[in-house]
Amino acid sequence: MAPRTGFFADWLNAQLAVALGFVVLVGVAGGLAGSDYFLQIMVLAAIYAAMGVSWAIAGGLSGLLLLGYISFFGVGAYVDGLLFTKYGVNPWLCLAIAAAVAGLLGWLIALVTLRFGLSEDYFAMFTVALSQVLKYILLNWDYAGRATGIYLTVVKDDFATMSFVGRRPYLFIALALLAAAILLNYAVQRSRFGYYLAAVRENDQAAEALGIDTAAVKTKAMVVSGAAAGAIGAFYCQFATFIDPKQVFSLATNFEMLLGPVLGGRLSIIGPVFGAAFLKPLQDLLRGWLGGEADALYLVLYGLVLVVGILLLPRGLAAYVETWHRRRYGQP
Amino acid sequence: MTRAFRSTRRRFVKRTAALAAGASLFGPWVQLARAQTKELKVGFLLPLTGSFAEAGQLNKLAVEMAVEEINKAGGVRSLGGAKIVPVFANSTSVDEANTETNRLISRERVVGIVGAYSSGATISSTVIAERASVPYLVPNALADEITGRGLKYVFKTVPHFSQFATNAAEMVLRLSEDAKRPVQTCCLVRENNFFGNVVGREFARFMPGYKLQILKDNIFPTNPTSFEDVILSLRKDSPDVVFAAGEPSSITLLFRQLAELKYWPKLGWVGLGGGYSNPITWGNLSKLADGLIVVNDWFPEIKLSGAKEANERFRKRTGKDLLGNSNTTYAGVHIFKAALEKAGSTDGPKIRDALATLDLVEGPQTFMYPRVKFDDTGFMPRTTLVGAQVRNGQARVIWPSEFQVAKPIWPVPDWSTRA
Amino acid sequence: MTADVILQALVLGLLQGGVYALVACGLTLIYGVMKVVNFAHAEFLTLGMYLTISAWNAAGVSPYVSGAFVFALVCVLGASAQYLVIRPALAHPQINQMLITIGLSTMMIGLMQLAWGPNNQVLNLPWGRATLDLGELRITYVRAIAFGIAVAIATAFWWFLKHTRVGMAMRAAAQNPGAARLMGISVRRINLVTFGVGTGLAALAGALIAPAFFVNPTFGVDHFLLAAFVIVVLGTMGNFVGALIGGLLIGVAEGLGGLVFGPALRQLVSLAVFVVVLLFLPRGLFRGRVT
Repeated sequence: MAPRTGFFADWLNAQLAVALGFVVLVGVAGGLAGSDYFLQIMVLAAIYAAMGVSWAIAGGLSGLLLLGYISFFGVGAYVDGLLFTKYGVNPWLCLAIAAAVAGLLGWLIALVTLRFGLSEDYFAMFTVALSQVLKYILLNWDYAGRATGIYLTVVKDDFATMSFVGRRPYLFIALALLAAAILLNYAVQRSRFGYYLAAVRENDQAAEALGIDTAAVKTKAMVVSGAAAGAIGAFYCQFATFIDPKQVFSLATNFEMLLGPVLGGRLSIIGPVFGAAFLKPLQDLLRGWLGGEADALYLVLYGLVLVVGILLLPRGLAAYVETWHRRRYGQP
Repeated sequence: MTRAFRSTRRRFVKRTAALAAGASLFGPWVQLARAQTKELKVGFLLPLTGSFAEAGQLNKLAVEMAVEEINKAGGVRSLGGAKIVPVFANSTSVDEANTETNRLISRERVVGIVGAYSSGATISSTVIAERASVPYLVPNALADEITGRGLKYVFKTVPHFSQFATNAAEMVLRLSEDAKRPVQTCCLVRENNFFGNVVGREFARFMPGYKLQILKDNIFPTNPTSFEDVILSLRKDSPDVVFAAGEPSSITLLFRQLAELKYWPKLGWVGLGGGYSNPITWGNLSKLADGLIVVNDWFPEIKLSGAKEANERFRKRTGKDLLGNSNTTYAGVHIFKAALEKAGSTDGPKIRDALATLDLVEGPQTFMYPRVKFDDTGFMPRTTLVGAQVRNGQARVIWPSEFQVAKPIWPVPDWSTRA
Repeated sequence: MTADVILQALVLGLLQGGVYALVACGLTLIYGVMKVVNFAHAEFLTLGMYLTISAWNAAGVSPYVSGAFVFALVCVLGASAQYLVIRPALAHPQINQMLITIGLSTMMIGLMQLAWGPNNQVLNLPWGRATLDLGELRITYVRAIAFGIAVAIATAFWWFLKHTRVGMAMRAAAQNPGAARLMGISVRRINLVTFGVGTGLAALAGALIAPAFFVNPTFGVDHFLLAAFVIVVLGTMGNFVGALIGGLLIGVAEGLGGLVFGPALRQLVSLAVFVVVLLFLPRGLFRGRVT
């Protein structure tokens, strides 16, 4: 069968179209209808989706065992919180500054771990430990408010300071960030850098033998993923209006954010997007339905979903979709 | 399978959009219907799970008791005898509190919210209520910032943080004067959480004014496994009195280890706030808690009419004392009901105005508040916190004298004569 | 900072370290043989505590008696978990394995909360407060006994690994599963036994500390998980003796660190050690040698 041509024949293009199309659809749905309750859930889902797509660059495409990802998110949140509440720095600008700071953190982590030649399991534990170190530092730092954290008070709309009374504007910003993350992931996969990432992922040593500077590639991946998470964290601070160390460096949240890409398919774009779009609202709705007391039941179900999901779909759902797509479009 | 997966996704999205559209269409109808039915939904944000679950569950029982009393007495008369229906929501984390607040407002259409126990969750969820013009009564979260931000729909019945420092110092000075044992030095032992941090701040601010020197400010992390560091440090500093704050689990462990290591301050140990005033804590400690002095809004053994009876009613229902903010929450429900009565309407702004102009000197809440009146920041000025001493699992008020029901034992003897 | 205060901190740290060691031994065993980082390890400790406390509250059974049964029971439960959940994932990429143990951890916390409720529970032994006074030094009997039994069991287990057939099979599987298979060792069965025993040890540690602390569903993960990981890495992942020694070291480090830096920074000490070891000594004190 002759290979079909066209924009959608390419798996990456198809994913881009579907993912962006979904973002637009959610935007329209949120814009038209949607009570504040739904909007709240959708914003959180968009944040998780954006985090998942960004993580996929370092954690999926480059194969790094980046288990502790929330460090970048928390750092971004605090950068925005501190700069905005203490110095009145414009939150839109804070997004960029947070991205820069988080990117720097990513660079430092890469530098340190690569220099000391940390192998996989150790790298994973290091990233997890780092998130908790940051948590403890902020918990004991007077300037950052210690356990009291940072809070914002928003009572009227002010676009200049990213403060809104309703939830709708936050949804649009979150979706914009998600779209940006999707485009970033796509651009990475399309570029030569993406090619190097794949090579490093498949076989580190072979890539090195081919002349690829694996250290530089991994560093770049960490910087990109980290910066993206930093910007998302900064936005989160503006949205939630209250952050404290236990919240933005929470390991539970960290693993929840990884659920999307792992169950959805971490080598894809649609995997993290639909993974989070399905799982995060499920989590919130389940909590709402089961009532305040059934947190225990929720934990059991959630854990079960994670375990069963991973066992049934080890490569994530998107991997199967890709296989179907390959067959359909007759990729050689 | 993959095709099915694709269409499942599409179906989910379509359904969500339809649900959202549908929900908003029904909104006004439900609102209309609500005015006709004899049901008033009130949202209660409480930490029903997680590390504050004990307190959250106790508060929930208090709410249920208050609601039952109100409904049995005929409901809200000015709204045709409408019954109050409590809608409980979990405020364990800030995100959850925010999401649940949105649910209470948009889905459940509550006429008001009462909560949320933890200051962080309260600070952020009150903003959401303010935006939606839904009145929010805070009977169990302490942060000054709750009413300090110019929000019009937020009302708070519990004291400001600073009073824990000023009242505690006044009490200790008085006790020492009466016992003719001077008190000059103190140490703090506090948990690294919201309340703990604020206690540290307020004590640092006010103790010099009372001529009490803080020798050391011991901060311990939440969920500690051991207090040896703290206890050894106290032993080294040897203060006259210790001021402490923490959660029931930490206090339980702390006191067990205090007894094990046989350390006790020269004059006594003063516990501030909810954790120390929680009957569950005293239950876990049994004999170890004898002599402990606790400072809070209220105790059943207090010189106020109706106090003992309120506690008895609660004990009969639940087997527990009306403590650990269950008292303030219980009173809060009655106060909110009084506001509904006054407003005679389910309209947010009207209920808010009713709360703002409330001046109650009678009603079920007098077991705790002789007078209920909010100032223009939504705060209810209180004259004083009270101090009580624990003996045999019961706390009896020893200060100030107008509420006193028992003679204080001060200095409090050390472990050799107790446990 | 007087000498007796430092000594007290040191001794208490050491006692805590003994218990840490037992928990870490189980974790390192599992990693050594299966190369799986068991993020659910602390939940088995919590489970052990709950079972012990229930036995006491229901029938007055002393924790030192029920401990043996708790160990056996959790061995079986752990092995079942391995068979159902972990074994199928052994062929998957590492991140999947890690997330599966995290899922297991979440489920266990939820199940324990359903079974026993979210509130704190205690085991009050009638002599639970009694202390052994050596001059200025005060040690509670329960902590001393916990230390003694923990270290004894860890040592006994080390002997078991070195001198019994099953133990040697475990070590063989840890060093080279392929070769072990060729030698006729059923690696599958060894994995099952390892996971069961590893988690059983954690539960046994729970039984020992039950009289000294309180329990709630997240007790294990709040107080022991971090230290256990630090110890395992410090002592070299897979090295049993390393876990034992590492446990004592970390216990003392935390005890002294808490005294010097203040209790709020106690956990930061463990984390700092963790980070430093990961960077400078990633193969641990024993440089990658697996016992």
